[in-house]
Amino acid sequence: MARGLIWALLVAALVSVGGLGPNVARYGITAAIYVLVGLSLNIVLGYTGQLSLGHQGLVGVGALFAAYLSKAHGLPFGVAMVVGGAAGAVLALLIGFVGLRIRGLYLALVTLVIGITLQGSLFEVPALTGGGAGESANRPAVLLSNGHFYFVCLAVCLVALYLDVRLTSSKVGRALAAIKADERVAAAYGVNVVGYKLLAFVLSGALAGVAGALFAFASQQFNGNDFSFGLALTFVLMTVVGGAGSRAGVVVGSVLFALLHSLLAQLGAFKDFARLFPRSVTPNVLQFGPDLIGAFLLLLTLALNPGGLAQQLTPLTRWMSGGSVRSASRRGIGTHEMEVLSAGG
Amino acid sequence: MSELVHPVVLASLGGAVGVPLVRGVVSGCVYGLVATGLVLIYKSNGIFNFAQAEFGSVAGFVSLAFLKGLGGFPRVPYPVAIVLGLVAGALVGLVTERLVIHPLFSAPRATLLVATAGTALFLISAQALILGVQVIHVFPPVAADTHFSAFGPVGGPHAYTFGWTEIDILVAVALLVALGAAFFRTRYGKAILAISQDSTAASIVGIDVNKMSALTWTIAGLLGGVAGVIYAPAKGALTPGYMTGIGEVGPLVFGFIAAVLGGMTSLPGAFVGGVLVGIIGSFAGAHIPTSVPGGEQIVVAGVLLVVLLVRPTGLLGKET
Repeated sequence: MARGLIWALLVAALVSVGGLGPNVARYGITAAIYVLVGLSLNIVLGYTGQLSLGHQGLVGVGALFAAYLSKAHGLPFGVAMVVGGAAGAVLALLIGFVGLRIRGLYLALVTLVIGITLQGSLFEVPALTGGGAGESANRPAVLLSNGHFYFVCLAVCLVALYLDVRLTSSKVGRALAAIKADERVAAAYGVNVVGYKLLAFVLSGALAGVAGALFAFASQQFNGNDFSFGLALTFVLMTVVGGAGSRAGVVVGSVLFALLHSLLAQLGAFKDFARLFPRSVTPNVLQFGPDLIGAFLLLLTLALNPGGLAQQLTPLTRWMSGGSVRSASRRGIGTHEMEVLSAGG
Repeated sequence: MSELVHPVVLASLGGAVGVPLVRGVVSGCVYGLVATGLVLIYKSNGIFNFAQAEFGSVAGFVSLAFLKGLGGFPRVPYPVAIVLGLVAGALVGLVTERLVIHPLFSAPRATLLVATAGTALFLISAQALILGVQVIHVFPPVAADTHFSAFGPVGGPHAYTFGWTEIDILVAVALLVALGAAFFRTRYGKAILAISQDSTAASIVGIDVNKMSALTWTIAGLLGGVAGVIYAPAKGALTPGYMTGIGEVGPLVFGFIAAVLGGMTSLPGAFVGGVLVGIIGSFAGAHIPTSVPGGEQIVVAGVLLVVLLVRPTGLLGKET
């Protein structure tokens, strides 16, 4: 009963975000896009145990192709989203091929370099990106209001979540978990390591590409500078702080990182806090204080729960999905479930 | 010599080869120092330290504050300001180890990597908060810039003028290499190397692993600091996080590439890798037309991929 009530409240909150004016809806859109990217990164990092520091490249490619094709070739909105997902999937497949030979932290580094190289090269090609001003990506008339567009993002998010649940409870999910635990043992049990690793990258890339397409349509333009290395770091931070491998943790972490900056900046207490500083520094505190606090919270979370927020959330999510709190608390996510990376493999 | 080669040929050769070479070596030294710090931490803790370059940014800004008497800091002579900056860099390294790395000692490496990235973000936002981004902070050159010219007369088409800034980088790096070589012959240096090979065995023979970890991070902070203060006058206008490069490719990324090229386990290899990355990038920058965006990055990334695919242990790395 209480469980049903909380679910109902959650659904009501998610729906009402779309009706509370364009600014609130804008936050909802950002949060939904971050959740998509978090789920995408979770497939490679959380389920398969491969760290990607170049996810901004996948998101950016999706955004670029969706924006370019809808502007230059008049592709309809829905098709542009599919194209964005396909672009992300193709790029991820290429990265996946590299990942077959290079492992662990080295792969992380390769993805980092691929991501920033894309930002510096492909995302700066004037013919594709419309020069310095950026390529515009106009939403169809129906979706011009942020409220309407939010519902599209929310729907995509829910579909992604459903697919994610299906993924982890299927043969593919079990194969990925086996690969994460030990590639050689998985291979010995007949798991097609190469195939499933590539599949994980492709699925992750497709999700990131769709998120990128939504990103472009949300800001109504593509700008290469948006996809910097800092964004890739944010993606990894939100996934790890949320708890890689835990769906609920990643969703909470993504929403937190998507909104932290804008919410803190609106908080009255924070404005009072900024006034404590010398007058010349106050604007800097208002502008960069949220980042500083975010980084501090991150370090604190890691120090207290190396398994991420998921460590705290596990009893709650189990209860929400029908289990009892007591049995849940004994089975919290341990750090061993996150131990995924060994250098040089 | 100049009798044998026609001056025009010499000059154009200088323009095509000499200028990028000198430029590449100079920036390569900065990348090499960042890479050396990265490898030192990788050897001792097995993690990629994303805060390595920020030790340098902190050192650069502290030096600048003392040089210009910003924010109530007393004005001090140039060498003193540099030393104070280096002390700040080393201190940040030590504090990072005590507050962030030490408590997470047994955490998974992905968590540690994220923790160092979080430290970097924390340091960058702290700089932005104190300095703001509207004011441009120019780091003055070491001495009133006397320009020397190579590959042709000053003002000529192929002249490459260089000042004290470049000479300073080369001298500092030479000094540091000598100091480093001497350090790893001392008891402390050997203890650090022993821990990097097998920390359990090292603690059995009586090495205080905990204390040495703090020392390693202090040295890494110092190395990052040197990179930061020698890069500062060469870069001129400093922005918060200038060593990491937010929104552009900074020394941190080139340092990582250099460390991997050098094999991730070899300190000299990392430095050589840095110089190589500097030279490759500089040649690519000089010879790829500007109509191709990011040509320099594409070439450097391509070299990294090829090296990793053909020889995953890097150029000077050992099989593990």
